[in-house]
Amino acid sequence: MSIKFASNNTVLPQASFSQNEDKEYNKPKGHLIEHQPITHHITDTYNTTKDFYKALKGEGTDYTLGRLNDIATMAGSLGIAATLAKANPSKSSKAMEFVGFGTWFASMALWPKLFIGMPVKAKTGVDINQQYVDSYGRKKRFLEDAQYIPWDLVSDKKMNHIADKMNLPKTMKNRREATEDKIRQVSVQANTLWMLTAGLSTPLMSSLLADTLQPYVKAGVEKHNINKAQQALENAFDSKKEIKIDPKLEKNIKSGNVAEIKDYFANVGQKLNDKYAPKLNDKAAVKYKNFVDSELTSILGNSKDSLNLGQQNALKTLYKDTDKADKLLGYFKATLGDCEGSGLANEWGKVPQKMLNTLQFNKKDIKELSSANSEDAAKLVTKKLSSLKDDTHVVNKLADIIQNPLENTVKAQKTIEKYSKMLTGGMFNQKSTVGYGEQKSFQDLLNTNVVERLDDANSTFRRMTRFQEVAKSTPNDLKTFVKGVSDNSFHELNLLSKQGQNPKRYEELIKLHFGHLSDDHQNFIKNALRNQKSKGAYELSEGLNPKDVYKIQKQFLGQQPLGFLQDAAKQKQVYKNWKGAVGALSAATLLFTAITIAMMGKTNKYNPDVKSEGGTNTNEQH
Amino acid sequence: MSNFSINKPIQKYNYQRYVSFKGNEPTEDKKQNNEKAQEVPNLQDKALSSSPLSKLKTTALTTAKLPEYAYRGLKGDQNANFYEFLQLGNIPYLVGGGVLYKCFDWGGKGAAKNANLKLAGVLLYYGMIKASQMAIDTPVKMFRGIDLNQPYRHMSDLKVIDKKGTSPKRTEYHKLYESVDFTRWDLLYDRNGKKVNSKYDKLAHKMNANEEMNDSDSSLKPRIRSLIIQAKAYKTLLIAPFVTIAIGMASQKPWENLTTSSIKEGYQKAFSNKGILNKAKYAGLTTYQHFVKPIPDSFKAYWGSNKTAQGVILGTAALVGIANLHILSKSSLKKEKIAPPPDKQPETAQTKEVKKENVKEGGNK
Repeated sequence: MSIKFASNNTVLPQASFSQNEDKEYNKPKGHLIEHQPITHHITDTYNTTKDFYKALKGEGTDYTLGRLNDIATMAGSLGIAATLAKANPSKSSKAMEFVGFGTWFASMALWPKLFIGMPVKAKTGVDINQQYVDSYGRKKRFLEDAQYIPWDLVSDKKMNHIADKMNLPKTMKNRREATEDKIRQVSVQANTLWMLTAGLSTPLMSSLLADTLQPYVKAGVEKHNINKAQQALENAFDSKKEIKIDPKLEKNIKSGNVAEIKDYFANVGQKLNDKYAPKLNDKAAVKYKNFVDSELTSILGNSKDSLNLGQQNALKTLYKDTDKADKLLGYFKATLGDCEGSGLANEWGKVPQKMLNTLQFNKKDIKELSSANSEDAAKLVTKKLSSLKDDTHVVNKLADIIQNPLENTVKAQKTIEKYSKMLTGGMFNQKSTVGYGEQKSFQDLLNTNVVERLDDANSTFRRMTRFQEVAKSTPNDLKTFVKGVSDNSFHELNLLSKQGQNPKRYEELIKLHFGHLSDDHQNFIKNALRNQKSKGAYELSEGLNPKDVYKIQKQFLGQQPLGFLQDAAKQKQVYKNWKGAVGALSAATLLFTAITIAMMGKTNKYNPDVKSEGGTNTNEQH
Repeated sequence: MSNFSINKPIQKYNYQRYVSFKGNEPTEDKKQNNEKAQEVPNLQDKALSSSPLSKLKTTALTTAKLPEYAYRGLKGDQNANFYEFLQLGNIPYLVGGGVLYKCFDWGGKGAAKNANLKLAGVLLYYGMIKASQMAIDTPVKMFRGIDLNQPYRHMSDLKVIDKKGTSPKRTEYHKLYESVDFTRWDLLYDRNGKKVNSKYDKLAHKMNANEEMNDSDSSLKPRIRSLIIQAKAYKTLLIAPFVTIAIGMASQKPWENLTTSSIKEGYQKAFSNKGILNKAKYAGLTTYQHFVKPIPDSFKAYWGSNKTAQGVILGTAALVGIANLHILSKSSLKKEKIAPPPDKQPETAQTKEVKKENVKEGGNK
């Protein structure tokens, strides 16, 4: 029966109470949340956003204000991830910043649920993550405030279940109150444990999760990048698909606004430089713009405020050509580019460590190799290579490792060659000064880059498959092979080549260092060594200083076996050290968590014993 | 100093050591003890000074209590409360940043660049969070006289420990305006002075009230409440752009020297000098070079890095301006019609009659 108030307030409610003593009062409307719909995050966020708007106007309560933090943390973290992503050059590292953001929040949410909540529930029956809705519809954590727990929302059945789990005697008086005390104790313990461990668990779990996800994310992003670049390339060169001219440019072409047209193409050229030049080849930086500029000058001539039909068409062609150049360079960058995030660069990046494993370097070797000086490292690697028992099997495995990246590299090279042949006329007839004062066309520049990348990969990785052959033919030179073309050996080769003395040794050394290259390439090396100042495939021109010559040749020669293996060992060792440190701290955190959970609910000076048979709870003892 | 000790003041009054309560019924004992508690200033809640030193003291005392909160919390102390839980919440906030940095630092030399960024990022993150709060707190204090961070000492009652109903107390440090629903208005009254409302009157003046008020406390409370809510909301809103700037700054070149080895080397060199003054001087210089100098430099570098950065910085500055204008204009009493105190109220026909009657009555007596 409900209490009725007269509309004019003349009847006092007290009078009604006194007349109906067995009246039922309004029961609290709160309830425990047993199952939340999956969409509750969306409705919660929506409600919080509404509360945010009200709070900005000055309306709200402690509860609504408390919830604003969630949105702020989320927005702040997204801002951080976006800023870090912007600062990163490659798309895969950009993606990783958002993965880091995700793993951070996942760790923050999962730690109290999986690593504290679940074991505590298993041990004591207490669910520290239990939520409830109060009479005002506010959602809260049931055990958040130990001094205010709405016990009336928990059924006797549930309390008895927890009491059984905690071995409270069934016959004891006031079993429910004793259970409440125990639950309060466990909740304080679990909340404290959560706060003490969250600062460790969140970054540790987040790092480990991100590290596990990284290869998949990188591979996914790279695959996506390559496919996207390939599609864009095919579209740009598809004669059936018309490339649409930028309307702004088209308008200026029609009206003969030469100044605007110049500005427009200067911008296009600069964009090409910014996007590709620094990443592809330092020496070629700011050169792509030159092709566009030269062609523009030749089209415009002395025109100032009007353009004839020929000029107009040539400008449209130039626009289309810049688009083709952009797509071709984009494909190069996504596949062969010497930068983080290029598909093949990363594919090759995995090879050294695989080779280290195949060459049977154990943990001890890797540790030694990573910290040894070059002489000791050379000895170590030579010893290791000469001690390999089934070396044919090892060599085959090495060849297997490089097979896929090599095939993909050649495939990308062929694609670029195919499309590069289709670049005719216009800006592709123009030449620009690059690197060492050579005049090169766009195609030349692109092809040189492609060949360099292929040679580099070939020289560095294929060389490793020759160690067995070297060891058999000139065993004493295995160490020379391992050390590779050092300054000294290069100098020796130079002298031998120029003086013509000891031709046998000269041939031996050439074979040792360059045997994996084709005859053409070997002849180029010989040629370059004989007369560094003559024009070879690398255009070694007059006035070039010896350092540059060596740099160019070294680039062609790839990475030397010792440096290659030592770098791989260092990487492996660093990763091992990192895993060791993160693993040790994670293990310590887990151990601390496990011990604390094992101790939960036990009697101590803050929680006197309540278990005595037929005994009483703490309150009654006083 | 004794004002700030958490348990000692209670022991000092050895007449009872504890203030006793017996059960829930209001007994004579309880009444007496309550009266005693009222008489002893150290057992009452008290608003503390707004000075930076006072705030530093309360922060230091609260921080020093964290190990105790953690220990008792791990034991499941039946007196542990939400305040202690919130204080423990500072641990993951501070430890998390450090561990995050170490997770990169352990990556060796290859990850050094990333680790620098994370260390600078973590430090700037904390700094910028503080800055985002100050961007609202400072104008509010300056123009409205309300120090949103003013501390007060709260004596928290613990569970009854004996048959007499003895209830020990613990000291907690809160902020006067931390709660919207339970703002400590009572601590703003001047109990000993001539005028109970003197503090509210001062606030009214700061809030641009044109004249004196009749009940400054009840007139101001809803407005201050609204101001607290707005300030909290805007402070929360500002966190996101401020930390974005923090990380943007951390990604800049001026922080490149912030490596563990270079910091270690810097301090080792500083401390290898002879004489305490020299040591302090060079340690200060190392701190300046590693941690202070890069702040303005990296800000300039971030500003120049791209247009998005400029947009973020200008947008944040605009947001700070809008937030303060909104809060200050809403809390202004300039255009409000406020009832003045009775003695200054203009005379109406009704009040004149009442006065006459009073005079008559007085005369009759």
